[in-house]
Amino acid sequence: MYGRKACQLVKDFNSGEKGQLVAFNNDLFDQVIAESSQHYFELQSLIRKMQEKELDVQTSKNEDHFGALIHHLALVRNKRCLMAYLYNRAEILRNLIWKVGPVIPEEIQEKLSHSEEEYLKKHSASLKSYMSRSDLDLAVDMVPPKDPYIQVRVLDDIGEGIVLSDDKTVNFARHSMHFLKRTDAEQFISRGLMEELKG
Amino acid sequence: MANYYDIDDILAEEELVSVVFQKAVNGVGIDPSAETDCVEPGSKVELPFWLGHELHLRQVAMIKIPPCFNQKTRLELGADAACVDLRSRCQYFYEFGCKLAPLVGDRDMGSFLLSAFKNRYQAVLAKAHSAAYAVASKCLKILTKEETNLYEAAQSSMAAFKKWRIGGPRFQRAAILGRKRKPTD
Repeated sequence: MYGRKACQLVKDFNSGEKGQLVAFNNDLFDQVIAESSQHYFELQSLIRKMQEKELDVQTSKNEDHFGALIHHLALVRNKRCLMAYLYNRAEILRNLIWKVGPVIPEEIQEKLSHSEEEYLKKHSASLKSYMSRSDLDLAVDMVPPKDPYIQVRVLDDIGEGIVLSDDKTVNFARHSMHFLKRTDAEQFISRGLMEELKG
Repeated sequence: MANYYDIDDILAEEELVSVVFQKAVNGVGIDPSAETDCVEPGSKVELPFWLGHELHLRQVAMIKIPPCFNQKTRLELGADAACVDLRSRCQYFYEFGCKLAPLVGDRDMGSFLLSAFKNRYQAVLAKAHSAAYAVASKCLKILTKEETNLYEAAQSSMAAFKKWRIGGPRFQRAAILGRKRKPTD
């Protein structure tokens, strides 16, 4: 009560490594919401008590008023913690889309709540429509490369029959080396599925 | 209200302060030593800062300076600021002190915080740009959150400089994906 669970929620957000997402803590989230309802209930009962004593609710400052004030402050604090939790997680997700592209790896998908997955889908869809309207792929590396083609080694099984931008189908088996266009390879490298070979 | 969503600001306001209630309060179970749901005037309770701050402004309770800003700490910081373990006293030393200063009417607080920060910042900056990892982790343990942020910023700028100088991989695995465990073949 009184903002302690909300504080735990905020600390939980920070508990992973810096910039990493932890699994969405549904239990704690619901507990904070339940506590807020309880605060509201107590607040209402204190206001009713004041009305029964026939005091003017707006101006008289007796003990019930201060009790109601404390419940109100706790409510506002809970709201702030819940909002900050959601906002900061959403910010991490937005950065993720820019870095990694519209396809999110499995290990991060399991850490998200249902509404966060919806948010992710809608955000990537609107980004995609924006990029197609302005005819530019904004997610590519901003520094122009020296060579349009790079050599890569595949680290993980990506699968067969991946279609590249020049309409060729390639089979990306593990440990195989390929000579690809940089723009194609970039999305796999940022997901950690390929590495660039130099020299 | 630029700090509304800021996690560090929220956690800084969660630090405990000791308050003395001036007026009676009904219907709240904050005071663990009271038997009923009431708080008597004159009772001392430990509250988080966000609550104590509002009650102080409305003159329901009086905030007392928490022990991390007491005379002992001030003397230690005056003697040798860079070695004092501020994290164990209060992880958000500077932010908390800045918020507390107008309430408690302590005129020295501002200048005291500033001089402590100046002295420690010198030490932090020197270590951040040069030290090896072993030395660094020892001195990181005594820094507050704000100083740790500065330290990490300095480290990342050093890493960026080295990368520019020597040249690292152009494109890397996105940091947000975390450390990958090596797959067992």
